[in-house]
Amino acid sequence: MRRWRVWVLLALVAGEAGVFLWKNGDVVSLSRPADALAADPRFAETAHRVLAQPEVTRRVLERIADVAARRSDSALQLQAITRIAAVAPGDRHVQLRLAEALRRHGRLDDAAVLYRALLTPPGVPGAGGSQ
Amino acid sequence: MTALLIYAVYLGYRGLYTLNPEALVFSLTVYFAEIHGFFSLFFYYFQVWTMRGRTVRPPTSSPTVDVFITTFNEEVDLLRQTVRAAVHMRYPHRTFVLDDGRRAEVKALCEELGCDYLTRDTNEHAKAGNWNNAFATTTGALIATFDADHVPRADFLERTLGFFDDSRVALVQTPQRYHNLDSLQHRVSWRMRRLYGEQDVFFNLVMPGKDHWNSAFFCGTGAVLRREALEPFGGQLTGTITEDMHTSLALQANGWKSVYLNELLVTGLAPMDFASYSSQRLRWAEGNLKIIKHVNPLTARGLTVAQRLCYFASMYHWTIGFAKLVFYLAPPLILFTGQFPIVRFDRQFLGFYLAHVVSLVVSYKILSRGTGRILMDELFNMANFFMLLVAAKRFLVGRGESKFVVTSKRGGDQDDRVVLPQYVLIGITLLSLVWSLLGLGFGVSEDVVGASVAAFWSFYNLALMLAVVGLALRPSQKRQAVRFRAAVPVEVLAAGDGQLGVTLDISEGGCTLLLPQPLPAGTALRLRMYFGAQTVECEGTVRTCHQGRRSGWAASGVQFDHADVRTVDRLADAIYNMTVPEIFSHLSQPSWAAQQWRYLAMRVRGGRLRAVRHETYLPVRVIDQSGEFLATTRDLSASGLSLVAPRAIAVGSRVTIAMSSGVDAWTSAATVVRCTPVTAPSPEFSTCQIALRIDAVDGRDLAVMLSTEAA
Repeated sequence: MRRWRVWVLLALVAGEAGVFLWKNGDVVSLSRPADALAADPRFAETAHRVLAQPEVTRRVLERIADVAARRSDSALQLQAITRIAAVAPGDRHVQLRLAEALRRHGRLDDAAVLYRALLTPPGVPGAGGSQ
Repeated sequence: MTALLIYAVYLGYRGLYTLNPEALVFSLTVYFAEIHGFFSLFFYYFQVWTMRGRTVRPPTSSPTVDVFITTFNEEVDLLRQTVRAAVHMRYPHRTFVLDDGRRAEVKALCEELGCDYLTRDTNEHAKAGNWNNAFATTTGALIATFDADHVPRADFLERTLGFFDDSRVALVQTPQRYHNLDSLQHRVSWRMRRLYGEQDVFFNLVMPGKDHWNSAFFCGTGAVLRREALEPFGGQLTGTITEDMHTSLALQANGWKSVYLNELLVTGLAPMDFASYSSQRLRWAEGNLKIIKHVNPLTARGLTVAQRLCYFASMYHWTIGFAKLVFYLAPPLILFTGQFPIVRFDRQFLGFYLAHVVSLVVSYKILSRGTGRILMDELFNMANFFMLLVAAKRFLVGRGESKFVVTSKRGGDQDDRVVLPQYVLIGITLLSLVWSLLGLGFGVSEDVVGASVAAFWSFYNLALMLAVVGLALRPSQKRQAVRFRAAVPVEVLAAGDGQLGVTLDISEGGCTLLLPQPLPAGTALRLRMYFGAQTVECEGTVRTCHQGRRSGWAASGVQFDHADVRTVDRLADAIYNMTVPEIFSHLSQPSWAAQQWRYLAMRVRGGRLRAVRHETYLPVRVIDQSGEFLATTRDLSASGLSLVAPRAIAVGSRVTIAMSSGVDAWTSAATVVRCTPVTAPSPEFSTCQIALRIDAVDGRDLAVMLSTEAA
């Protein structure tokens, strides 16, 4: 008699999963294995849509940066690492990766400025990167 | 005081530093719910800080007393025991049955029992109108009033009338206790000998606290009122559906005093099913809130500041639904949106929060004096929140007003539609948990700590919601009469070969009987039951029989086949005079913590350890110099036993006891070491609790009996 209530709950959960997919389909599609994403011709398009969102978790940004590196898409990699650096401003390792991404993308001057800032000891005037 | 101070500091800190500007509405809503909780706590502590205990004195004058029993559609069988008990109360009085159902069978009942029958042509103003109709046609200086299901003890008037020696006392209220302990609002632990009743906090703490401030109010039944005080109103005030509190407020504004006597003098029936329970709470909540439209306790003339606070607290209590809804919906909202009502989850906040929670719990436990249980209170808050919201909506909007409806005390069929709001909350909470898991799993969100906090809160709420649904889905009560757990010695006179047994439970309609030998279903019996010195004989039929695996006892479900109503009446007398008081006394053990504390204190004082006692109910034949009688044990140990006997035996006397269990029988000599009289409301049902030290057991080890019977 009350079994239908369980079915209603299951239907609601299924509907909720549908709404979740509809709302976060791009992010969900980025949770596939990196090899599969690297081979996916629509990856760049999906990644750009995700990067256009105001709030993206670091885990997703790292995934984009990783797959972009595998695909040798330096522009996309740089974009992803720039976002990571924005959400983790005190992370020197991320700053280093950002400098590397700038270098790969051909923005050598910017890369040099960042490398120099990272190599300058903290406390010295002009030192970049927070601790 | 410290707890309230810490709560206030916590709220100040919350307001200054932790409101989330990114989710301001949500944050403020939760904050206001917490402020509501602060005032609830303040009112509660204010009321229970000092409780007034009353000393009963016999009346010095002889006022005339009328007894009103209001009825509308309750079963005549139910009404019968109330009317009989009212008629048999010891102080001279006239009993009036006020029947708004205009039923011939009730009139016939009144003629049979020798009381007056009053009715009227309309049902205007429901119960209060019915009462006022009788008020206008009677003359007693004092009026005792009972609902149709509230059975008074024989000494009810003797215990209450003395307070009216003070000419300014307008009413004496006694607590409402319920003898159907399997009702929705009771939780019984027979092992721990503890009883939780949802209204215990009110009747054991709040009302004695209100009494301290002279603001205990009339609760509709189990009370005595002074006619002179009510005459200006023509009886009880009408216009609200909780006329009792409304009338009390008006009386106290006129300078009258009230008295609360916290003694078990009346027992009634609590709602058995969730629908009846909810409808009763809705009526109380709506009625209490709407009183403020007639008499505002904060502004009414004639009340003291403390009385204003006490009455306002009673109304404020019913607004808790809003705050609870906020707390039930906040965790799902957090899990769905990732937004928190609190912006800082740092150590400082946790420090404030923990100090607040710990002080709140500790102070609540201290001031609740062993009565309040936070989890049970939360469970019933969850059960009530929607009805409280409906009541608040009706109060605020003023539409959809309910009428007075008699609360059904017979269990209805299972109907979980009444817990639809809880189902909706369960759905929302589960969906939010799934949503949060999906978000964390796919990397849409990564606030694991925040989600964990909200999930923990959600699971706590979910447990309460499922418990409430469980209440609504309890198997429906099919019995016509309430069964009382009682160990009464029984002799099977016919078809049982004179077997001696003991009841597990008993009602006016039947019993569960433990016998050494099984009796097949369908067997017709003649039983003689020993209620102290009184015996009741009746015929019955075995309906079910189960043989115990270890104890050897056979449990038979026996339905009584009453040839005449007098046997029912005798059974009812025995139940209400012996069984009910014993049950409430049995279930009045202090909490486990209090027991451990006493034990420790006893050990520190160098007290002697007694042999472990096993709660055991066995029929015993006791033979002393005066003759022989039947009794039942209450507990057994390796060195002795205690039993309930129909008469006293001198301490130091030697007796012979013959006990039988499901597998064996023992005979032993014993010495009486203690004999304590247990006074029943009707003296003929008084008994004695006798402690015996066993001198020798007939060659067999008592430990064998202990182990089998303890099982």
